[in-house]
Amino acid sequence: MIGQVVATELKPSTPHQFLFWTARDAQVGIGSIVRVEGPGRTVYGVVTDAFAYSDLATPMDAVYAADGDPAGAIEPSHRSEIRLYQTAVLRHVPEEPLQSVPLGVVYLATDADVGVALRMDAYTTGAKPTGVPVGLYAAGGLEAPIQIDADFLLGPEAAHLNITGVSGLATKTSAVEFFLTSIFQRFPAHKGRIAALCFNVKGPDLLFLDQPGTLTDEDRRLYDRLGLESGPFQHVRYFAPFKNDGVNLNTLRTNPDLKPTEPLVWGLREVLDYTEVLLNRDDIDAKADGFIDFLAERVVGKEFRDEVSGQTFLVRTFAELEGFFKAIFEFLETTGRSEIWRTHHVATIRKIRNRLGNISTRSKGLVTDDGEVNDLPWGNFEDRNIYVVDVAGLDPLAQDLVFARIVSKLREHLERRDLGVEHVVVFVDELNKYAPQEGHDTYVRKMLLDLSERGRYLGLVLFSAQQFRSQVHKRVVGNAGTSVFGRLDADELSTPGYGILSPAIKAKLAALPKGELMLRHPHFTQPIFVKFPRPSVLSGREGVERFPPEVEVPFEDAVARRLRALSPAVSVNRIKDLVAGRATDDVVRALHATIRNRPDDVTAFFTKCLGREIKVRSVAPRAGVASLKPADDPYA
Amino acid sequence: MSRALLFERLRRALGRGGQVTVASTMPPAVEGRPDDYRLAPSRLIEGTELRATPVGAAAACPEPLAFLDGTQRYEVVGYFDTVPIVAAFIAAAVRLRVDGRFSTVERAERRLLVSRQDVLAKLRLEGDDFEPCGFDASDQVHPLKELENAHRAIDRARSGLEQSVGAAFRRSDDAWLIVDGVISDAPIWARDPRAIGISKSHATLPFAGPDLTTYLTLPALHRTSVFEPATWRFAKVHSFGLRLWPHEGQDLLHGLVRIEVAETDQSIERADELSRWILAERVPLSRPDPRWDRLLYGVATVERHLRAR
Repeated sequence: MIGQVVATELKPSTPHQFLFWTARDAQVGIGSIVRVEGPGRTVYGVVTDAFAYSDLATPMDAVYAADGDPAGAIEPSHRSEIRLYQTAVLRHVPEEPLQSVPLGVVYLATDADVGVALRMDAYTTGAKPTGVPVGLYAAGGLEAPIQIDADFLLGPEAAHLNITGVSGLATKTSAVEFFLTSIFQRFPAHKGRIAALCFNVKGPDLLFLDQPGTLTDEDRRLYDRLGLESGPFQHVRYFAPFKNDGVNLNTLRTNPDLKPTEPLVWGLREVLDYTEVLLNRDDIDAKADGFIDFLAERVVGKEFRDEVSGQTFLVRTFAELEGFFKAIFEFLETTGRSEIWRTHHVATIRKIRNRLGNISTRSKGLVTDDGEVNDLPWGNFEDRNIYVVDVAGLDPLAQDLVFARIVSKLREHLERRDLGVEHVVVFVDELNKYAPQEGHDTYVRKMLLDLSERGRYLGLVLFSAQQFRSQVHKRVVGNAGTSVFGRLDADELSTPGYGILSPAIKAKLAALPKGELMLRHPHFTQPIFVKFPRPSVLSGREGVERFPPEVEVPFEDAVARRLRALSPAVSVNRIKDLVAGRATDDVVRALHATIRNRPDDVTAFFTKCLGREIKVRSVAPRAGVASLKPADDPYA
Repeated sequence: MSRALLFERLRRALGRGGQVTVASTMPPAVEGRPDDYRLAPSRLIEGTELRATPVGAAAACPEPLAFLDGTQRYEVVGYFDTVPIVAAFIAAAVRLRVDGRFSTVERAERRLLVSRQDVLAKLRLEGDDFEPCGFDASDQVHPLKELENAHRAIDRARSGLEQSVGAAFRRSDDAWLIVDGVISDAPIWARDPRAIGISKSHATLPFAGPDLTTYLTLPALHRTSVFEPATWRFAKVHSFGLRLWPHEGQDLLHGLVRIEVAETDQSIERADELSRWILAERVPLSRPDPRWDRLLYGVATVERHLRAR
């Protein structure tokens, strides 16, 4: 027993809050969960504020008693004082009729009490439990594992998780890594298969999920207490676009001691459906839209016969698309017939040509001209696998394209139920950048909104993070069934969104240590503070120190290195000899084809793709026919 | 059950018999203690004339210190003909201070139904919420006089309860004990060498004439010579006046208390030391109690503890 409920006319107990007092040394504080036992009713609550005061009538009395000298304020008696705690109700038992909190005895909650208080008993027991551990509630020397309901975290009841926290304290990334660990280990079998797709948007944050991190004994104890095994993720695949050279990967995860990062390369077909992402608002009009649809439906990827010019086209790559445009313009110029080609004005065609042509330039490394594509394993996603797409080094336009296409593809496959898994967690950091509250509407923001509003029906769940929740689109964070808060900036806490929190909880949030979070979940009627162990994977910062990225090397060396990654039997010198003097585009094309096909004999396959070298031969100018006329003939 | 509800239930019970006129007001005449204002010159023990002596700087008692006090609350709940019937709660407690922190070590309380003996005999009340406490009939049945009699009966009962609580404390602890009020009318304290009575009431003043002037104009942080009050009942005690706060600009009685200790060989020698202890107890101030200038904080906490229950 730690206290007693008190209620006065001015501060009565209500069905949703009450006050209790304790001894001075009671082990209770902000966030503590307590149980009140009253006649015929048990009430559970969480401490949201604390007060202490003495029987000193006015501060002036203290001055008067000390004769104005603080040094003389030594009193033989300590004033009577009170430690008073304001508590928000978590649950009444029985729930009906809902009544005010009785003037009962207050106890610190035990493990079992925490389970009942947070309604965890509803989903952690029974034939098909759906609890997912997210941390330990700790107070007064007691610890209780906190589980959240997978039905409300990953759908279908509610879904999505949003994390807010200041940068630099590793709260956001660490929390997501730990949550994924927990989900992968405890996601109920009856709910099907689950995978995660993480966008690495800054530095090396998520690039070492398959490498073990350093854990303390306390971390291991926390894992044990939560019933989880520590250790890195077993099945992680990394994807990153190439750099502009088309050979070196645009990622910090290039150390040869690591499992290789797979290239992410898209061609015309992959990009065409998402041209809206790449076009600015002025570009998008009904005419442009109509012409893009025409290209997508009639031209790209199939044989197209133009009855007007009588030509036949097969457009599969950006290069072939450029040939298609050139043919149209030549036909219009040659015939001079009109400025209209198949109902499309030549100006519209030129605009689309320019924009599409720019894509492979602006997103070079991601978008290939020649059609050799390497993509995520659509249709073959595997259970408990993580797919990390590193977009940290991409320019914003290419990042938008990656977000838009990957999430759209996930939607398509989940709708058709042919992705390979039934649930996918998509993790996106830096929502302040990708789904801001202010600013013009972007395709990515629309996509994130759509994901957060309709994704749960498909099994597509958004785990998102940002530094300033107040500056993220309200519908994105509002649709997150579960919200997590790490240490927050005082400015952020002063925004209206945090108005429901007591000053004490705000103060606690402003000073929250690493490894502690405040959690809101649909089953919990009040926010709960939990601590969680360090994720058992290598952090990004440690990762780049232990596995420094390879130094960017010359083109020939980079090609050889990438082929050696496929097979150690590949001879570097042999490859360098093969590519010496060859056109860069030809080499890149052959390299991509080899990577995509992963042949047994890498060198032979690469050589075949590279084709026979066509030697450039110099042709000497013809000597010509000797003049018949003598040189001295003045009339010749 | 709260006192107010108990009083109300008693009123209803009395009303059901039909013999009692239910009442619920408290005539102003019965507020406070029934003091008689008088002068009772004392015998000087220390020196040949009453003098004011500076006691030095306040110095808290270095040992654990206990405080004893009692409270009473009563209301007229009805009249039997014209004889008032009074319901009362009395309570007493000892709080022990160790290292500055108080804890209640003894406590007792009683509920009384106070009236003339013959009236109480005629009342038929069910249950035992209130125990009868009768006083003898007076010749003239003036309702206010009967109320005063009831008041005295309650006062006696409270004093008895305080002594009972104090005795219980003394059986288990020999700490210095500060008693709110005089000790000379309580056999248990009058000879207790570690009991200190502190009288805030000056209804009976221990001097007359020039000595009274000396007594009532005692400077702050001074005590009077030790004297033997004339008002003792069970044992002679030694006493002295002590001014806790300057009275200038206030009132002659402001900050003035009268200390009583058992008559011992050391009572004169220790008067200064005890005075310094009492001076130290001026703080914390017991405001907002209007008697804060004479009410020691330790005593105030006992009162507050009893009233809060």
